[in-house]
Amino acid sequence: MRPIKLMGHERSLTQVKYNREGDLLFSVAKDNAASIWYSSNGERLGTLEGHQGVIWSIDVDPETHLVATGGGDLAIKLWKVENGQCYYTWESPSPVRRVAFNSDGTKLLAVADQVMGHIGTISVFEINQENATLSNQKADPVLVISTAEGGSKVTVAGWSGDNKYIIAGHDNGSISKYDSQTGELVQSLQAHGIHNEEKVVSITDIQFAPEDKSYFITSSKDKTAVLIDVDTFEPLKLYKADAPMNTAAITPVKDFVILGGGQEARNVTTTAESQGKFEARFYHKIFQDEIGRVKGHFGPLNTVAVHPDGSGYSSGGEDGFIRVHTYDKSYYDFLFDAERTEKVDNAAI
Amino acid sequence: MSLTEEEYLQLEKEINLDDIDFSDLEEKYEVDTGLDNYVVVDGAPIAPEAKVPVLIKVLKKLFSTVGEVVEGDDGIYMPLEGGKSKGYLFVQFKTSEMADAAIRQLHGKKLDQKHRLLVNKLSDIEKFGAEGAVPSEFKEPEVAPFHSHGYLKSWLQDKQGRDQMVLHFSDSVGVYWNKKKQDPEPVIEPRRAFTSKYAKFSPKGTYLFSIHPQGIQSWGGEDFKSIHRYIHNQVRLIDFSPNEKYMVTLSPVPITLPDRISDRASFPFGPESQGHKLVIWNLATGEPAKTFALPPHLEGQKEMPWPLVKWSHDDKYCARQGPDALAIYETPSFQLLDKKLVKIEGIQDFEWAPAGVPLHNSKTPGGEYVLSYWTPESTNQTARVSLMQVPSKEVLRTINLFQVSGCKMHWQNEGKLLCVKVDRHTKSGKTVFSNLEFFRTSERDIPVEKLELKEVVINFSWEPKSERFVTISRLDDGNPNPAIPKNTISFYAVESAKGGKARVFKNYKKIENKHSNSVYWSPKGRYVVVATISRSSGELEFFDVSFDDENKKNPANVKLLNTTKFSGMTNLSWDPSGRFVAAWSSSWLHSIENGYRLYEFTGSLLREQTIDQFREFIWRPRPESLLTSGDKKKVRANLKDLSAQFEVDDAMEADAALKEAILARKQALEEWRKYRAKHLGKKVQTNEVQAEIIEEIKEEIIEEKEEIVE
Amino acid sequence: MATVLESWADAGDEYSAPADVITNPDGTKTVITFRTNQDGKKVKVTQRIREVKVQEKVHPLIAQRKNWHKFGKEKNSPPGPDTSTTQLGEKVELKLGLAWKQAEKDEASEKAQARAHVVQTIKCRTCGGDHYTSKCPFKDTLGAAAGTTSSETTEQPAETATGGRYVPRHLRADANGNIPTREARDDSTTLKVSQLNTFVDEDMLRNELFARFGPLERVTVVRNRETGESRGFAYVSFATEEIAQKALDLFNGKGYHSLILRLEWSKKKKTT
Repeated sequence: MRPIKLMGHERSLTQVKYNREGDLLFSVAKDNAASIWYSSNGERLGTLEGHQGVIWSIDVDPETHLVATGGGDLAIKLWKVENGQCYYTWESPSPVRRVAFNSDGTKLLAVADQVMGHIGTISVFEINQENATLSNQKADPVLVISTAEGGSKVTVAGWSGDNKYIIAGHDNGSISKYDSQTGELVQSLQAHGIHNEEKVVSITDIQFAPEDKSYFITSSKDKTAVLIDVDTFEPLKLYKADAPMNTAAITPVKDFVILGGGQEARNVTTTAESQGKFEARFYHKIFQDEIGRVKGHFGPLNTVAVHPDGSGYSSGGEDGFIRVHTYDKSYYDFLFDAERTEKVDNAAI
Repeated sequence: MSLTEEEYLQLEKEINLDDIDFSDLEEKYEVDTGLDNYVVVDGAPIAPEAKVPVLIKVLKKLFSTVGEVVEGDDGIYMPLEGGKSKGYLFVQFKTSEMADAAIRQLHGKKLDQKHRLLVNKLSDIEKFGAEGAVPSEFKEPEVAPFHSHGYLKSWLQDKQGRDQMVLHFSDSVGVYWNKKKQDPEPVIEPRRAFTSKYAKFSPKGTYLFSIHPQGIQSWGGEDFKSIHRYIHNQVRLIDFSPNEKYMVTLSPVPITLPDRISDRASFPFGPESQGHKLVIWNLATGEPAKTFALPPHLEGQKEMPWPLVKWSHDDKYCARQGPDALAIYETPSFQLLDKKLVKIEGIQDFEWAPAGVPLHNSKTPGGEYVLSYWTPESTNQTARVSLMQVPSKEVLRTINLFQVSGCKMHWQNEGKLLCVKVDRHTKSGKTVFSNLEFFRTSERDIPVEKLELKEVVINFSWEPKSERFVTISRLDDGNPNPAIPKNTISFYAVESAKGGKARVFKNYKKIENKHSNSVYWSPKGRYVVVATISRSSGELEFFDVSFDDENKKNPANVKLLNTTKFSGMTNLSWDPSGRFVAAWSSSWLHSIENGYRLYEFTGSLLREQTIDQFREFIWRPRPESLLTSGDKKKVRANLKDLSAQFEVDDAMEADAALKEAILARKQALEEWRKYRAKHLGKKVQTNEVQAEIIEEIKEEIIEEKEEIVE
Repeated sequence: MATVLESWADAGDEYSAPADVITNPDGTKTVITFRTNQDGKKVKVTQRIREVKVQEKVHPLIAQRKNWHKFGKEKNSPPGPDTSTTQLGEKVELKLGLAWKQAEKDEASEKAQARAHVVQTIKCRTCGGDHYTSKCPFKDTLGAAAGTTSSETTEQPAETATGGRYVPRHLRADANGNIPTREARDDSTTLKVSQLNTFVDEDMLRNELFARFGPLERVTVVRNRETGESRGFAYVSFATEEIAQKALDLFNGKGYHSLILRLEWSKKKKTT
């Protein structure tokens, strides 16, 4: 396959995200502008200008109407996709590490970092989607979930499929399930930091199953990714890598997961040998085996996103590039022995 | 087996003497009352006292024909009453066997118009005549409980679609699954002394038969359990009707009824079969359906023509050839068709069409019953080959031939074509050459096409379901030196003539100067093995007759795929699926390289096994596929996916560790599906809307080049 | 974090250098970029790019969004991707399977082999040495002398005739000044593979059948012009003649997707 290289960012990528139909790709980086791209040809629709520093996170609502960004400049911004205008800015007490819309776009959660004397929080804002009054938003969150005293700070968070829960990943490798109405902690699980001797176990990404968001994958600096069921909160699968993982995504169509990461830049010698050798890793979701890698980045992968129709994926790297991939036919043809047999058996029925 | 004293005592304690059935011993050592020598004869004339001595004399003469009647008054005792005989008498024979013979032969004998003798054993009168010996009320006979033999076609359900085969070596017979390169997997442990001669499958593979001095034994089901015994003393040859309804057996020993009456109950044949040698059995019931005496001209022949009974394609008719006549029987009654023989002067041989023949005017959906036969030249008559329709016995077509030294009839397996190979001699009679006469049975008036050759055809074989054939021929030049390879392999097909109807068989490939003498088509066609089976040098050549021509656009494109030697080879056989070829060297013929080899249909050797005293390799036949042509098309379309499944199986077979991994994956997949099933039915977002067409600009790399600049 | 960023920015000097874009008169663009290869050598990558209009069936929402006006940094940009932010990358392989590591290793070693072979074929046209003609130490002395006797001197004019524009290698005139035609293409490493099942495509040949003989120079399945259905045969060019011979020996007459493969040397079409 021949990827499209997107070079609109000047610094490391922090998050990439597709909209529901997959025609647009949203990207944020450590520079201060978000970009929106047409995913099919890499043409840039525009940039979102307004942040004063690193943008850590971006999310788009299901209708591709509004997009939210959160950054190190203590700002959460709400934009209209169509024209790239910022309509509202919430202020955050500390840098915003993650923003996420719920499944109907009526609420937005924002994870505020635990720095500068502030305890980490997850704030939930109600979104006024009315086109005419977009700049008229409630400044105060409807819910704030604060990190318990002595608890580990939240690094990432997202909504479960029915919006009933907010799932958060913590710096200590644990995950928590909060009631999205009351903010009450329902369940928690030590998902990472238990599979090996790694000291740094922070959860780096959380992404939900494309089919119904009933399970999700978390990636961690502990060099693993884990698949977890929302309801039972039990780990389903474990994927082991040989480097800290920054991101993980579940593919539609094929039963794969894509992991991205790599040794921190300072830990690797930047010899020519290693250049372009940072890889997206494909694992079989069910069998947990690593089944392939895609090279191309010059630095660790910070974020991957899968096209909702399963036809490709995009990765954003520490090298400042986004690479947009569209799978070859062989990708769809690949089946494990057991899967082929199942397919034949099903055909026979 | 020998037991020590201690063991015996132990055994005695364990066995309750009351449970042992001694009846057989009791019978054996029963005290002979002597009554067995007597017969009671009823139905004799009632004669006045004066005429009694004459009557006794007459009767004594009669009874002496079957045995020795005791001399004197003890021999025949005829009680009198009121000066008249009572109409019955007692006869004492020297032995009970004689008494038995008297009953067998004279019971029911008509003495004259009015008197029929009823002959019974005196002991039977005792036995059955006594009060209460025979219950007066009818008692339902006990029907033996149904005994299942399991599913007789279980082997067809093999998940991997493998075929079974029988390996017969020294006196052991084993049934195995073919596992290609690997050791065959036993279906049952090889059984020693399984058969006294050979083993044989029925034509559709349902039963396996073993031959024993007492008769035939059939085996079947998953574990090849005993199914039925067909008692036929010293049976030698067996054959089957195409649909497994009937079995034909032949023994050189004529059927004789057991003398002991008591043994006759379990004897399958009645008095009408006495002296017969040929038996048609109903396979399912195990009862004989018909028995025949061997025709006189076959008695004492060393080489028995076999089969003696030939069947129509659906078992509806069978026929036997006799001198100047053909006997056609209808099943299941086995009555002669129209109650008479079909007179055919000088008939030499006949063959049924192997399928219903779609005659030109025929409206019968399955086609018509047709048989072909030939008669030789006689003083004022040419040789003839004729086609006869059954049951009408109408002769559909006859061709006249002359200077004929022999004919062989080869039906194409769909019955649409008959090739008669006519061996003709020159006027001088010194050399022989062949003509091939092709009957197109499905066309109007059955046109016959003639192919005249200079050589004599020694082997002819139709490709299944096709109009192509292979011949092996040689020039009869009077030089019999077998060391000179002078056989020619020829591949024929119908030339695709445009427009006109004239279709001619054309030789598409000719390979000369060969020793080859046998042709084996794959049961699925297209691939053919031409082999040399001889004492000195066995060779197999694998051909593809539609090479590089998947859609069969050309009549034939012959390509030699592989040549391989197997010097000891005595036999060769395709598996029923057309995937494998087995060749073997049988110790029945010689002791060189006894064993078998298994080839792929392309000729690559999969397996080579030398086995001491190897006798025979038998593929288990399969019934016709139940798939419709639509089903088959579908299979062909999905071949890639389907074969994937078998590739997995093959891989698992090859590697145990891999097998574990695959099984683990299978389980993981199953568990995952189960897990996901719980979430099914939950709302799934669907945006079904009409698609719109847009235009967008994309970049396309036309050329790309890389240069090292440093 | 800042230091990390810088170190990457530093390392990125050579690859992040802006692409050199030349707009050609025929409407295509030539994009020249540089990258560093595995041996640490700088590689100049020249791509000729054509913009094509593609029609696609899409969701109406997508169609609607296609008509949005650009904003931010892209305000007033013309339609179509801008080469300064969007480029087609090098081809990358995703070989799925448990043995992906082995597959990659094999490929790398084969590539090395192929490269080694290529190196051997470098022959100086001036002195016959193992280097490029342009780097020949004798080019000033021998070159002139040779020019009088051989036809090599025509080389120069032939190159200049193209007006200094890039001409792909296979279209360059040979030593005799003949522009090579399609027919004259060197097919010495090409096999014709026939008896292929119709669903067999280039990917399957490349990644399945001939995977162990890769990398393949060229794989072309011959198709029906109208239906696009495979006609059951393909031309496959291997890195070297030896590899091609190996493939021929191994696969000719073997079964592949239920058909018996036939491999033969591709015959040069006669130029008439």
